Amino acid sequence: MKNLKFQLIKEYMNLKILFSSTVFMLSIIISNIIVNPGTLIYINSIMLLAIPLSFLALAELVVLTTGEIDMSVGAALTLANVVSVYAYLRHGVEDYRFVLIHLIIGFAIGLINGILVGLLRVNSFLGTLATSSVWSGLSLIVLNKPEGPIPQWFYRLFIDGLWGVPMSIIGILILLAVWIILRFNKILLYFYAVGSNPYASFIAGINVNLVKLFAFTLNGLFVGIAALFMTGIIASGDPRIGLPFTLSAILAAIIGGARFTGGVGDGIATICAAIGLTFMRNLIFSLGVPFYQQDLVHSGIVLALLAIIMFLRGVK
Amino acid sequence: MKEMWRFEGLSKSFGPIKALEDFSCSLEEGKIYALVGGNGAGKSTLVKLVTGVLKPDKGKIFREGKELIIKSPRDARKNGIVAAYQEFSLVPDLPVINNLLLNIEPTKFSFISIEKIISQGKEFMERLNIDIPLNKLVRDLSPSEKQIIEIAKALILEPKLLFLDEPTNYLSEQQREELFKIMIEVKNKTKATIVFISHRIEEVFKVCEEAIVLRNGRLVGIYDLAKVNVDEIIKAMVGELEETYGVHKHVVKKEAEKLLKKPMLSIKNLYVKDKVKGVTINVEKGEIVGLAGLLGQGQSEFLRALYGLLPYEGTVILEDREIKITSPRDALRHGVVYVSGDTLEGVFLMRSIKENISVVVNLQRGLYKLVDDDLEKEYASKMIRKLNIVCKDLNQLVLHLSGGNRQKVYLARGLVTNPKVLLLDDPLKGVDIRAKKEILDIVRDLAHDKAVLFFSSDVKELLPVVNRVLVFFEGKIVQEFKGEQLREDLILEASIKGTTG
Repeated sequence: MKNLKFQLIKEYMNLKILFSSTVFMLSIIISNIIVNPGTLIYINSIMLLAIPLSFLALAELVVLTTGEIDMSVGAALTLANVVSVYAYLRHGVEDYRFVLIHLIIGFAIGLINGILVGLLRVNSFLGTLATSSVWSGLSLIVLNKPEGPIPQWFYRLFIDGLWGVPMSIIGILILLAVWIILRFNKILLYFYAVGSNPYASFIAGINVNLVKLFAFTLNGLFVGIAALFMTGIIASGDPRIGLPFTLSAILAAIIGGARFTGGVGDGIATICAAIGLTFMRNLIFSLGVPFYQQDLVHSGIVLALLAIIMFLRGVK
Repeated sequence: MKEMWRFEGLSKSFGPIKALEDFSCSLEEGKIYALVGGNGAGKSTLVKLVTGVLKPDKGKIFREGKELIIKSPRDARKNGIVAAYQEFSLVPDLPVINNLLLNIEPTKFSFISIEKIISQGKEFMERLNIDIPLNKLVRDLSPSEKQIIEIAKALILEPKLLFLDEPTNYLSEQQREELFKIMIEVKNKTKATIVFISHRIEEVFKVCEEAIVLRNGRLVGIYDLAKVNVDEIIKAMVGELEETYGVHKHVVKKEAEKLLKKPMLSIKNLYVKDKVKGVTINVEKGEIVGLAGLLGQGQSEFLRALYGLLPYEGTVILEDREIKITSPRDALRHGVVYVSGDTLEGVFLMRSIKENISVVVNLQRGLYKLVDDDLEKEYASKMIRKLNIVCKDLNQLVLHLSGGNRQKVYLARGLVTNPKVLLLDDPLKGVDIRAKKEILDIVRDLAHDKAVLFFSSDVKELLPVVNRVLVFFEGKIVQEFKGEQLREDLILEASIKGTTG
């Protein structure tokens, strides 16, 4: 009985993926330190940079487990970011409501994507690619150039930390807590079930469309949290900040065990992968790649990684 | 015993095909019914209509005289109607325990209580005497284990009306006995109504009290199994068709005597990794060689290798020329054609009959040439006539054909290029008796200028058409039967024993 419980939890933890993802993260961090020992001084701020990507990756993961995909996480983050900053700059919203706006925008975006995919049965790739353009367009209407500042207290939070604890640590703790809560909740079980075999889920009396709607809503909430951290880090509203993150978020979820066909994927492994990918950007910078070529190099490495992962999984 | 369930006028069509027509009957509680009928009789459709997987075009379902509204499996479950499906309804990426308790897992504030699900699952598995680790992922289970979980998943819901759709397919003799015991126990304890579907007629007589016989989507009748014998049931299933597909054996024999003595296809020492261990066969022109044996003894792999689907080692000589087949393209170029019993592997469901038949012709004409519609039509209509494919017209989608006709389309594509070698890999697996007989006739008629290798899991299918039978056991040919020795009992005995001694 005890043994079986242990075995089942082990099954839930997805140790193999967790291991490979951790190796990926550590190897990039270590090579970063070797190339540029100065990284150690900045390690806290790089970790902080990894938090928004981690949330985006987690958002992507919950949708991927149900067998769908979200191409709009980057643009959605941007919209939450610029709307909140707009509200502060033009309407003076600066108390807790500043935080709330991020979350509400994220939630609403997730709900819209969810209705599109879950209820109207629009293909998620096409649907979210289209909404991605909508969010981007709206962001540019709200703020047509990067603008600041943000509320003083919120800005200080990211400098001084909360009760002396740096926001990077807080971010990691929230991430882990969110995943652990999710992992032992039956809704994640249904995400997996729906992604792995929608027919069997339907037979078991699960409302497949509703589960997908829920996955997208949760995804939106995570995007909102990601935007919150992003706003704090850049201390401004930037209508072009999010776009490149979509690809990285998908890649992080894939390294974290997710499949485009759904049914699998681990949150902690995904978080590790997101941290690894953030350090990779820093590594590219440390290697002295010129600024305008960094995206090219980064995307190239991302593509190569994807190819390697797909190849290795195919071999199995 | 009192009437518990009543169905009134259940009907369902798929396009032009009436899968189930005006099905009405009543079922009593605490009774085991058999649901029998040939392929395409409407058994699985009935199960899916009652369990809410499919929506009936019309018809009503009553429980104790009260009409039920069943729009989804969820509604059916609420009313105690559950099924173990033939094609399984398991989630491969979840552990066994989560599959068993899917959507009924005990939770606290929507959190899964691991302790509770384990104790509940364990207790249930012990009661059924099942020994499958609860933490194993379903994707890693063997087919028989999956079958057991599919059944257990239905039983754990404590159904009042339980459908078991071909539950014994993957089970061993011993596991079947176990299942029958459980069925009887469930019936006695919970007064549940059980509907048991099986193509093994002897099983039906063993556990069921009454048999609901379907034919071509219609109810033939309900028979008290204590009062009828196997032949009567089979007769009801088959309708007014001659006895079996046992065809004119003497014709075959005569033709066999006329055979040329030179082998057309000669295979020497063929090996396929782990599966085929040195098979040597010579096939003469016009000869049909039957491959028999238990399932999984390398027969399929042998045929698939010859069609280039699996890598092999060994020599293949076709009409005095050694050929090496590394892909289906190679095989087709040499005039080697393969038809399996897995229809979905062979047909393009969403394309027309015409396109399905003529696709190979187009390939052979060269990809750079435009499609010649007249030529396509000519080939297709010729094959439709030859194989007696029942369809509205050439442009009907294969999706809308019955299983038997789909299989004929598959075979038609193989035959349209007039191949030299025909490899048949259990081609009648999913075909009803009437179509079986027709296909066997066609194979025999067309064999005169070909070398045919015909594997069947059912010896009865082989006997009327083959010149000789080779029995496979663990990747080797262990015995050959011809002439007077071509008897089902002898071949079956050799298949099970496996050795020549």
